[in-house]
Amino acid sequence: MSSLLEFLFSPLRALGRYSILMARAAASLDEIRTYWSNLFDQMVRIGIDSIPIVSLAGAFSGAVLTVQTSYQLESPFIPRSIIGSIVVPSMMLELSVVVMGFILAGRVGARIAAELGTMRVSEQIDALEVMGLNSVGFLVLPRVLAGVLMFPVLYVASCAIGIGGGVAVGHFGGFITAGEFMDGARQFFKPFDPFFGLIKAVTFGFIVTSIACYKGYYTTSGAEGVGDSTTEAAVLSCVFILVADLILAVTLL
Amino acid sequence: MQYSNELKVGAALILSVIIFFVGFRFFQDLPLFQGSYMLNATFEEASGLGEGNPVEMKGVSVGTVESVRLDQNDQVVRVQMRINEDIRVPEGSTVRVTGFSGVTGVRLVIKPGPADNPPVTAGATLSPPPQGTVLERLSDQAPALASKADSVLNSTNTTMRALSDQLSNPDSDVRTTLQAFRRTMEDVESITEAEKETIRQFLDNLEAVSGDLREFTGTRGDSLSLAVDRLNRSLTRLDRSLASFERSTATLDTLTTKLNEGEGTMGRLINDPSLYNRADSAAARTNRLLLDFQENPSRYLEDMTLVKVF
Repeated sequence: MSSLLEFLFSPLRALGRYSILMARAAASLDEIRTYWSNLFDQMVRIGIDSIPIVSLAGAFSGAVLTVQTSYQLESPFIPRSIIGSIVVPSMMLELSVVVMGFILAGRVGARIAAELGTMRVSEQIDALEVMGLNSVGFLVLPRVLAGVLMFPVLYVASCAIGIGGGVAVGHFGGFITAGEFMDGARQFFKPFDPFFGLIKAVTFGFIVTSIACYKGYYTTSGAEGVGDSTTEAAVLSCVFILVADLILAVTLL
Repeated sequence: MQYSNELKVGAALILSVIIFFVGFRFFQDLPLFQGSYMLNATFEEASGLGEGNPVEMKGVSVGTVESVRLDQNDQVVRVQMRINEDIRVPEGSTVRVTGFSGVTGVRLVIKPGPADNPPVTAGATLSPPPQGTVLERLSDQAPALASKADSVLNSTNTTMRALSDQLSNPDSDVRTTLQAFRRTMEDVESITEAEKETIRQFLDNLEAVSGDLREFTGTRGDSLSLAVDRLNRSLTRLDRSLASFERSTATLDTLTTKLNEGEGTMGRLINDPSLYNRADSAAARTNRLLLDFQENPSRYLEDMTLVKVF
C-alpha cells in the first residue's frame, strides 16, 4: 500500500523538488555577479559550441522541407511561390526550433545532467556547500540562464540557415527559383511568426537546462545513478518540449 | 589569439540580433535600412487580409500591413499599414483589399489621388473607394447622355425646318397632295348631296326588309325550329349514308385493286389471257368438229345406231 502511494506521489514529489530548486535558483539571481564568469562559460558551452550542430540540423530541415513541399504541391493550379510561403513559416514556427530543442536536449541536457550528477556522487556539491558557496546559484543558475539566453541565438542561427538551405536546394535543385521562394515567403509573412519562434526557443531553453540541472543535482546511487540521470534528463526534456510546444501553439496562435 | 568567453557570447548575441532584424525586415518586404511611416484605413470587410500582407501602389510593393483589428464598437475593420519612407501617397488616395487568400494572397492596393495634391501625413487614414450609387453612376454618364440628347434635338430641328420649307413652297409635292385630297373630299361631298334622296330610299328599303325578316322569324319561329330539326336529322342520316358509301367505296377500291393486280378468280380471269386463248382454241375446234359433222355425218352416226332392227 505504501509502495503504491509512493508511486502515486512520486511525480508530485518530483515536481515539488523541481519547483523548489528553480525557486532557489531564482532567489540566487542577485548573486549572479559572483558567478559572472561561470555564466559566460556556460553560455559558450551551451550556445556557441552548439551552433554547428544546430545549423547543420536547420539546413537539412529546410532543404528537406522545400523538396517535400514542392513534391506535394506539384499542380499547375498552385503557384510555385506557395512553396516559399509554406517552408518559411514552418521553419520559423516549428521545425527549426523543435529540431533544435531535441538536439540540444541530447547535447546540452545530457551534458549538464552528467556533469552535475558526477559532482553530486563525488560529493563536490557537498564540498561547495561546506565552503559556504550557494551551490544552486553557482551550478544551476548559470546553466539555466545560459540556456534561456542562448537558445534564442541558436534559434536565429538555425532558422536563418534552414531557410537559406531551403532556398539553396530549391534554387539549385530546380524546384523553385530563389526569387519565387522569397516572393511566396513575403506574401504570407506574419510578423508574429519569428517572435513566436523566439518565445518557443526561450521556453525550450529553460525546459532543457532546468530539467537537466534538476536530474543532475538530485542524482543518487553512484555511477549508475549518473547514467540514469543523464538518460532521464534527455528523455524528459524531449517530452516536455513536445508538451510545451502544444501549449504554446494553443495559447499564442 | 585566445578569445574570451565574454567576447564570443557578445559577438553571437549581436550577430543573432542583426540577423533577426535584417530577416524580419526582409520578409516584411521593407527596405533594410530605411525608415517607414504608418497609415490607417477602415474597411467594412477585411476579406482575409492579415498582418504582413503587401501594400501596393500601381502594382509596386510600397509596404506591408502592420495590423488588422476588428473594431466591435463601430463594426468596422481597422487596418494599419507600414509604408516605405520614400513613398509619397497624395491626398485623395483610396485603398482597397484585393486578391484571393488561397492562391495569390490578399493585398492592399492604394489608388493614388491627383499627383499635384500634397502627400498625406503619417498616421492619416485612407478611405476605400466610393461604392457608387445609381445616381452617381448616372452622373458619370451625364455628359454622354447630354451630347446624345443634343444631337437628337438638332436632327428634329432640321426635320421640322425641312417640313416647314416644303409646306411654304407652292410647288412642293406635299402641298399638291394636300390640294388633291381637298378636291377629292369636295367631290365626295357634292355627290352625297346630289344622291341624298336615293340614299334615303335605299336605307328605307333596307329597314323594311330587315323588319319583315324579324316578323317572319317571330311568327314562324316554331315551324322554323321544326324544319331545322328535320334538316338536322336528315343531315345526320346523310352523314351516316356518306360514311357507309365511303366504306363501300373503300371496299370497291380494294376489290378493283385486287382485280387489277390479278388476285383471286376474277382477277385472273381478267388479267390472264391464257384462259381466253384456251376458250378461243376450244371454240375453233368445236367449230371444225361441227363443220366436219355436217359434212360427214356418217362418220359420227355410224356408231350411233340407236335401234338396230336389221
